[in-house]
Amino acid sequence: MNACDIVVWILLAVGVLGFLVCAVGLLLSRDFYDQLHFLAPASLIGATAIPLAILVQDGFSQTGSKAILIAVLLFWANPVLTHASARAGRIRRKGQWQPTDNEKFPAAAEKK
Amino acid sequence: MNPWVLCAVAVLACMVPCFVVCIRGDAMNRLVGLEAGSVMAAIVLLLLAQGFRREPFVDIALTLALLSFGAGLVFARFLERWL
Repeated sequence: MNACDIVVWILLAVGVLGFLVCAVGLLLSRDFYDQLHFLAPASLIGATAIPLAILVQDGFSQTGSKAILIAVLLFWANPVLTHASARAGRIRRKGQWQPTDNEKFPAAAEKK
Repeated sequence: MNPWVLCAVAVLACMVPCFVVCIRGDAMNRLVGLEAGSVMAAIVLLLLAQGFRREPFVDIALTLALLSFGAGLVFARFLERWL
């Protein structure tokens, strides 16, 4: 086993760990907004480390280039999807995206 | 079983909680389950293509990653307005 293989194994382990954190977080949190946070480890850690492992193994071959493309796509899509989902959830609950008149924001109140 | 296939099986096992969330939760929880599951599915396809040395199959993972983004946005918009 050379250094390249060790790096590949480490990257694969980190990637699987990212997906595992996502899976356990989804199971343990009940609220929709809490669950949204756990999309990040899968998309940002898991979906980056595994394509990187392929890149280390194969270099910029056909597979390596496409793996990096997938990683960039998933990395970029995660914040957009999270925001769209949170927005959809809020509009379903409150009826509108903007704050309602009698809505209290504790963090904003502390600043004042 | 090489490390790629082993990792594919591990990630596939991580998809089980996504199915559980999709079955047990309400509409918004299901959307989160779908988004997490589609990311994992794309990576599983990538790992299997690498594990079995089938380079053209990476295109399937790429297509799924691209389409899952659009699908997530469309579902979110539908849940926001009509469903």
